[in-house]
Amino acid sequence: MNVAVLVQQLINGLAMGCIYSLVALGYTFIWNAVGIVNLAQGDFVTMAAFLYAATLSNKLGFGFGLSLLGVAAFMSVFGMGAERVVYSPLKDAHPRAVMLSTMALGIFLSNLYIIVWGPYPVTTAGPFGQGVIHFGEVSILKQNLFVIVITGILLILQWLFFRRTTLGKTMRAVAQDREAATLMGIETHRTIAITFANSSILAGIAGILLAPLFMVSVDLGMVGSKGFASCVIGGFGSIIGATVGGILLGTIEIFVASFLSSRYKDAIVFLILIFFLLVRPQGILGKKAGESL
Amino acid sequence: MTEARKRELERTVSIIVFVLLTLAPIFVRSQYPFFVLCLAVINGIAVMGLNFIFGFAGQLHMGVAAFLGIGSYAFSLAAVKYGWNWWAAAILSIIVVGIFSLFLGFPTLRLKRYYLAIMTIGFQEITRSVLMNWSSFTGGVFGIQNIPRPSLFGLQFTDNRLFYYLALILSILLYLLAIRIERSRFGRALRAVRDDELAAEAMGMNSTFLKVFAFIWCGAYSAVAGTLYASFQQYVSPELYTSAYSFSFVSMLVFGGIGSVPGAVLGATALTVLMELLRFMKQWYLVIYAAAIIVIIVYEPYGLMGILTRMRTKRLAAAELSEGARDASL
Amino acid sequence: MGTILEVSRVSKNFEGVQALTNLDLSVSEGEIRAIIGPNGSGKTTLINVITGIFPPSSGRIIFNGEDVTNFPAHHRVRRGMARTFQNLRLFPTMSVIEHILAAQYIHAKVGLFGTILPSKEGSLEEAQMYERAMEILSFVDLADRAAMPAVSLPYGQRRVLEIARALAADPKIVFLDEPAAGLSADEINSLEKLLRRIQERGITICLVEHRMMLVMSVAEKITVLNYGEKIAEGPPEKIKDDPEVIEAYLGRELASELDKSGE
Repeated sequence: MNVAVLVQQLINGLAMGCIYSLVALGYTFIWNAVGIVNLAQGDFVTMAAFLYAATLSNKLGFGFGLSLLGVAAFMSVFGMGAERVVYSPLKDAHPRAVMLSTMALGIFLSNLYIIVWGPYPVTTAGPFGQGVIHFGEVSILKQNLFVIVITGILLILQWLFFRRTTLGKTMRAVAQDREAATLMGIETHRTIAITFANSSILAGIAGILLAPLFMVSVDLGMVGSKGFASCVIGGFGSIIGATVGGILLGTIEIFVASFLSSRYKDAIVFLILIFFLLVRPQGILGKKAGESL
Repeated sequence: MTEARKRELERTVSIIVFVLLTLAPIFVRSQYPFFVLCLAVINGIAVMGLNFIFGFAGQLHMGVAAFLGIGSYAFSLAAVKYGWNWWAAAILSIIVVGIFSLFLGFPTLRLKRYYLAIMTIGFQEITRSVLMNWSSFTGGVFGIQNIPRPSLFGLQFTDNRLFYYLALILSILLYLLAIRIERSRFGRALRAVRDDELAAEAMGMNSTFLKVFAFIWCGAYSAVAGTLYASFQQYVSPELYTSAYSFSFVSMLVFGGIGSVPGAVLGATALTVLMELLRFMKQWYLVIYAAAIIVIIVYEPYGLMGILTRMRTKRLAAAELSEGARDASL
Repeated sequence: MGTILEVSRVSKNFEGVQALTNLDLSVSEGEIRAIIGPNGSGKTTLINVITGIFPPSSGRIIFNGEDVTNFPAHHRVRRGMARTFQNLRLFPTMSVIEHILAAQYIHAKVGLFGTILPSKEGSLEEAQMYERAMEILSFVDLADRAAMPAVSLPYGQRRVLEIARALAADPKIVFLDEPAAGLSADEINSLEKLLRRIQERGITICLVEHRMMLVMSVAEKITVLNYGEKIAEGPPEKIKDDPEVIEAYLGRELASELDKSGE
């Protein structure tokens, strides 16, 4: 095993991990705002990937920048709509009712994709095609570097949004204590809708970054489970945890796939997740007594 | 509605469903509808299993088909590859699925959060890919053929009709068992955990034990359903145990009534038939199912059993009212 | 009378917030103890730590001569601790009697097979549980409500049902977290009588309460907490005049409550 291969796989792993981080952040924001896990998150990723690959890029010939804007706009509206349908009517019901409805939404969507975009996987070149950059012996897919850069920029934007803007601060207030926020005159419903929109945009961007790297099919929904696993590994509910967990999981996965077994990589990643639940259920960055009742 | 009235309604519903299932073969002549009928009974067993963990313990389980699949494969491999006796293979299947349930259930369910849903989604995909890829053991995409039918007291269940009645009898026995568990102290404790886990623990209940207990029952029922499924079709392949199948089980329970054993059987029977009638719609039927789930969960969280309970309450209230009026007129 | 509960040097720290500091508490068998203190003084935290909802950061809890500090909540209940909650936590899908039946779960002897398969012992035990449930409900005067859904009870009776549910676990000690909250004066009177009758059954009571009227008349000894520390302990008459206690309540809350209880 030489160093070049190691570095190469590390970059690939980081890129994969960035995508998981984006999905994981989507879970985290919704979890913090309303205390539920959106089981359709993975199918949101698939939707954006299809929308970008099959429609915007392959059919309409949009460039990457325009597609990005288009997908983000669509996902924000879609996210708010989803909140209306699967969360809002059930906000006083038990969380398990909401989980059930988000799960049903996921099934609804993934079967709808097959109707809209057909049963066959779609491929798209993306902005860089199969372009490769060489650093000495190390050759890296441009798309992978691009994923890392875009995710980096996105994380900074998210941070600025939550720290510097009034809307972002309001959303943090709602996430910390919904009742108190209501008493302070914050329209919690609106902020919850925007939280769903924000999580959907993150899932959407994960989808379009992923599309050129994989064949786009409903099986991409698996990214949802990986994003969730990232949350658990990093520490559920922790924003930094979601990011770190995602990057860690992506890296582990790529290493397992290239040095152990590509067939059973999902099974091995799942075993790691079970191990975490057993040994450190609060995740890497979670607090010891972090289990809320 | 009081406990006694609820039990009375449950008894009525279950008797009607089981009588209909007993009589149904008389009206069915050709092979295909018969196949559907058998599937309805087998699905009923799996949905009763799901009801343990989702209905009684309140934990959404999205991977019943995976456990069904493990049950099918454990049984089929033992019976075909190693030539085990049918019943011994069936028992092995229950044990194997029970171990898998423990393996997945313990780490997940000891936490107070609702992690089971997504853990089972992941487990579902992994089970399918392992069944597919481990060709040397599982037969890969080709699956396993020539799975035997059982024999009992010299009776050979090679005839589909006979096999159907065997499945139905098992289903009735498992129904009675589920009702017994529901009404036992374990059933009450499970409901307490579902309703308020913290309060249940403060009453001395070990919530982790109870949830894992429910999950293992779910596994055992799935194993029986998986065994019957494999033996009925005499063939298994990984493609049978999809996440769509898992989702169908959840739909059946939601449709029939979450938390109700007769609701589970009712929902499974009704939706299995409906699913076959809607088969020509291809993908659309799942789209419609999913949309229906959202509507049901918002407007009628207890499904058909909820509607029946409400109708019964209304009628009883009306009867009392008219009785009152008669008393007044006297 | 021996000591049933011995809490020694217990501290609890929540993410940097010190909720309890080196707290000692010793409760004798059969007494009615009240724990009072201003809001946020750590009363509920103390109950949560003693009953095992969460572990203490440091310190030990000895119950009935046994160190239970690291026992999970359900083990402590089996050894004779029961409790109620400040915000009612009844089971929303259960009837009144089902609450009491469910709470007897831990003391059932017949195993899984005896319970699930038809058996003589199983049905006998079930009948005994039912009988005992009715006995407990009559004890708290809820027998006529047995078949009703618990959520349909008026508020005061729901509070009583929580106490009944705790009694069904057959405790040696019960922790009552503000049982009088939201009750009318009449209801508090009958609650007081109920507490005395529970004491007559030989059950130790640990009462966290804001309503001084009740505390002063029913408690034999009062422990006062402030900012997670014990600032006073003694019989009601002594606590009434303790300057530090009055200070802790900012001179107002307690004084006005004391006036009321003096009426």
